[in-house]
Amino acid sequence: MWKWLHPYAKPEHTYYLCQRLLPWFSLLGLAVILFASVWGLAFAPTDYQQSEAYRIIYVHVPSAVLSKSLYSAMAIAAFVGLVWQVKTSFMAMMALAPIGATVTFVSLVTGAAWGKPMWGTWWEWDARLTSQLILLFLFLGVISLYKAFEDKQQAGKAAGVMAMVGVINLPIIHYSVQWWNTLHQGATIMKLGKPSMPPEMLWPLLLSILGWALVSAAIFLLRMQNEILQREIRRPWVVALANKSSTLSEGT
Amino acid sequence: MHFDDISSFFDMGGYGLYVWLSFGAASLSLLVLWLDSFLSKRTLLTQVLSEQARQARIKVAAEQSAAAEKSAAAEKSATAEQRTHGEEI
Repeated sequence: MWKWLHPYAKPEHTYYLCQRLLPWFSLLGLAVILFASVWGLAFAPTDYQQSEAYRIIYVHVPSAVLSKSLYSAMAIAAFVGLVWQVKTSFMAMMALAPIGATVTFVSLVTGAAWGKPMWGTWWEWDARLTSQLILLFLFLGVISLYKAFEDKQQAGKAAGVMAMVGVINLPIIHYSVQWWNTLHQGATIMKLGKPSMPPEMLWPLLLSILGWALVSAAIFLLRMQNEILQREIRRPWVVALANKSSTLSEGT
Repeated sequence: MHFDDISSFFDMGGYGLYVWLSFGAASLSLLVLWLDSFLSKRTLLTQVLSEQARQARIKVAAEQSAAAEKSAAAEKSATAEQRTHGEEI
């Protein structure tokens, strides 16, 4: 397996792998996210307690789930970069951070828009909301720490340590609704036993989580290519690639 | 379809503002992120080309100045030769 994995530690190979995967993830992700959103918005049944306002779940839950998964992925990339000194893994970390920050921001905004009609307030300093806000600051912290260093190897190490320390926040977010008294409702899907949701509501939700994951993966592939290009800007293969794409006049 | 008509779909049982705010914010954020990623890839590739053009210009200029220097040096040595010849005569 290591022998098979090894070429992908080389930036050039990773770039072309990303290029090959990019259209599939983009198109599939867009299709799934649109399908799931239309299903959730227009066809899923109404909630007996929250009526139509519950439909915010179809953007709120996917973004919240993805914010935690992307943080985990970023921390794993940081760990691999720090321990095995794999060149591309810090690039992966920095490709993931802005996506995670965006998705966390979306989860906070949609949460606020859900909180206003249901709890009567846009924001409350409660455990779940506060720990999610800290997650956003962790993503932003990793990005700014990386940008603060001129030497990108040093920058990767510093930001990587920060990303790994921040992992402590993930279980806090997950269990915050159990450990503290909170306005936020408990888990619906990610819990032991049967999810407390009828299938005609649950299916569009699961599909939209999948759609968000695919779209995040597509944007990750694109940003990963950018990170590689940035680092290898003077390499002959990058120059050849730029010449080829300019003659084809596509740039994608 | 769950809703009877299009206006009740937009109204969302009175929660239209919040539901559409959420979906709008989500799609706008994802779109901005994708656009940023896409445009910075294009910028990077054009940057590679302009850097390559700059290197080519530097090379041409260096060759030109080297050639000019060479011819100047040749001229100088030629006049110096003439002068020495002149002195000899």
